[in-house]
Amino acid sequence: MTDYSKSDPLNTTRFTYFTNVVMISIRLICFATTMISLYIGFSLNNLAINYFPLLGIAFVWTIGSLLHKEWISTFVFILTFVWIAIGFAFNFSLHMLLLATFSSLMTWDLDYLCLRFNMAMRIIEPGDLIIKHFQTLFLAFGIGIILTVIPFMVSVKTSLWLVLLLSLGIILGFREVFRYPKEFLNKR
Amino acid sequence: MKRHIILGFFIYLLILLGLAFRNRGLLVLSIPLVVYLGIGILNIPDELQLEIERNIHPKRATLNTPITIDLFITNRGSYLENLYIADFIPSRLKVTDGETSVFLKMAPGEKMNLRYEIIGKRGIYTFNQVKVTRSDPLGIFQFTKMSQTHGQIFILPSANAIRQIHIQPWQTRLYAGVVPSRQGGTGVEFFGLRKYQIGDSLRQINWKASARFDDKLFTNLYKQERAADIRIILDARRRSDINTKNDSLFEYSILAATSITNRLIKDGNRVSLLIYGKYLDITHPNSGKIQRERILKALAGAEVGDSLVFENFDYLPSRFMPIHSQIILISPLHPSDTRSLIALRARGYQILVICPDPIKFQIFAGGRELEKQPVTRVSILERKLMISQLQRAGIRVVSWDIFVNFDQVLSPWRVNRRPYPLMAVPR
Repeated sequence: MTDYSKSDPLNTTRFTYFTNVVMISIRLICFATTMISLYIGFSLNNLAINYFPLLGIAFVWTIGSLLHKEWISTFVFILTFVWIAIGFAFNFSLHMLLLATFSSLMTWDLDYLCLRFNMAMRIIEPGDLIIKHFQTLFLAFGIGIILTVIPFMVSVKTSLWLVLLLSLGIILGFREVFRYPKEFLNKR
Repeated sequence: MKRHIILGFFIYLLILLGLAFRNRGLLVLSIPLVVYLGIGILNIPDELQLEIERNIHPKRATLNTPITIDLFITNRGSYLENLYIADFIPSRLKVTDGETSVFLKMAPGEKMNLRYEIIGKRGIYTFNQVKVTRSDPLGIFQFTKMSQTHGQIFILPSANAIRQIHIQPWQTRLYAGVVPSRQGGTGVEFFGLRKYQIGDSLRQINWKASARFDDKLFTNLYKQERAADIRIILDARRRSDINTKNDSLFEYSILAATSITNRLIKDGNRVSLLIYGKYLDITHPNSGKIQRERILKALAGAEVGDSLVFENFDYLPSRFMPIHSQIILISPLHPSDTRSLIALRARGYQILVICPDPIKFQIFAGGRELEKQPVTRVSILERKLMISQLQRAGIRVVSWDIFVNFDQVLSPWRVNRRPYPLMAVPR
């Protein structure tokens, strides 16, 4: 039996101060990237006015990080994503907005990871867990980037009927998404 | 808020808006979210099959004695990627060593041990549940389960060693003990004289009394020392308790009750306990170590409480206290209790009141300058008057300045062994 309770002279299994600092730095870089790319993305389309709201979002995120509040992180992600969606809707700088999308998603993801890590008094083999997390995250982002870029290379023409058919499918599927975890996942 | 719901909401909102406005940008923006959510779905962990066992050592402890709790966890299911296990610790307990929660991954069949040490205040603490949360590597889907693991610890109240408590009940039991009974025989305290009988020890002959007669000898009789039936009543009414930031007067009442119980049981007496507060918590009379354990457990779980019925001592259960039995009441005393106690005494009970001094307690908490204030002096006088009223009725009152050792407080009182009168006091 592995007894992790006390016999850990090298303190290797703890979520150390070093690991915590590294994670905070990565999150900070991701969040800064989101803010800068959003600012540049909007500025390139002569909308430099978004400077103040972004500062407000950054302030809220910093407070949330200091207080270790999950809901603040989620709230910031929602705000940022709405901001990005506005940019996409008005066809602002695509590269900057894509960068903002992935970095904001990564910030939210890492915020959540750090919160979960900080919740536990002890983390066994945090290095392995972080590496596995990043592997999965990069896999998701890799596939995401490829699939996101492809539609900009090809042009698909839709008809009104096709749009209506897709909308119907989405509305029907919408209900299932919220039922999904309860029914489907319990079967697994 | 659950992350998969937020992601799902955003995905559908973007797709619907994209289709509604025929905007490619909005549709494309949903793709990273779909992929992110999809990776989470593909990595959803299987059903939890954990076996959790709890081992507590020791299960009964005194104040500030560390208690070790071991959680033995075995994974009987498949590989678990992100597993969070947390034990619920009652708020009055403090972890001194080790950890109560852990974040880990577990292979099938893997075992692990989570150990921590706790200390805490007096009480009965129950450990029922362990929170186990599993999630996919990205933490999008989380499933929490409460595993049942039963465990209970008793942190017993602390006690002071008491050398002897002098009580003189009207009735004693047949068994030998240390309480002087109202029957002559062998013992220590003088009881009376009787005519010399063949076989009496020469050392017991009262030569002074025998010198008065030419042909008669008299032998000293001593009070037989027997075990007694003693009822301890602990006042747990909220109105008689005083709380400060870190302390409570009730804890001193508990200390007194524990010390007295220890002594009385050790002397072979039959002891019972009544906790008079929110409800009547009765530990029925018995003697021996098991009874001591029962009483200590009841005292460990004792709490102050309010009840309109048990506001004063008018409703003490008479079936619990046979007439002429010895009652030890541990209470800071409320002015309205005087009438009830005098009436109780009039019914023939032998009453000893151990009274943790609430005024001294407040002076200590509020500072020495409080002692000089007129209101304090008036309170002290009122209290003295109340105690003297009780003493006049034949109730013995020991006022305990709680910052003096309990044994020392009982000591001068022990010297005064005059039998107290049984007075009939009208209600």
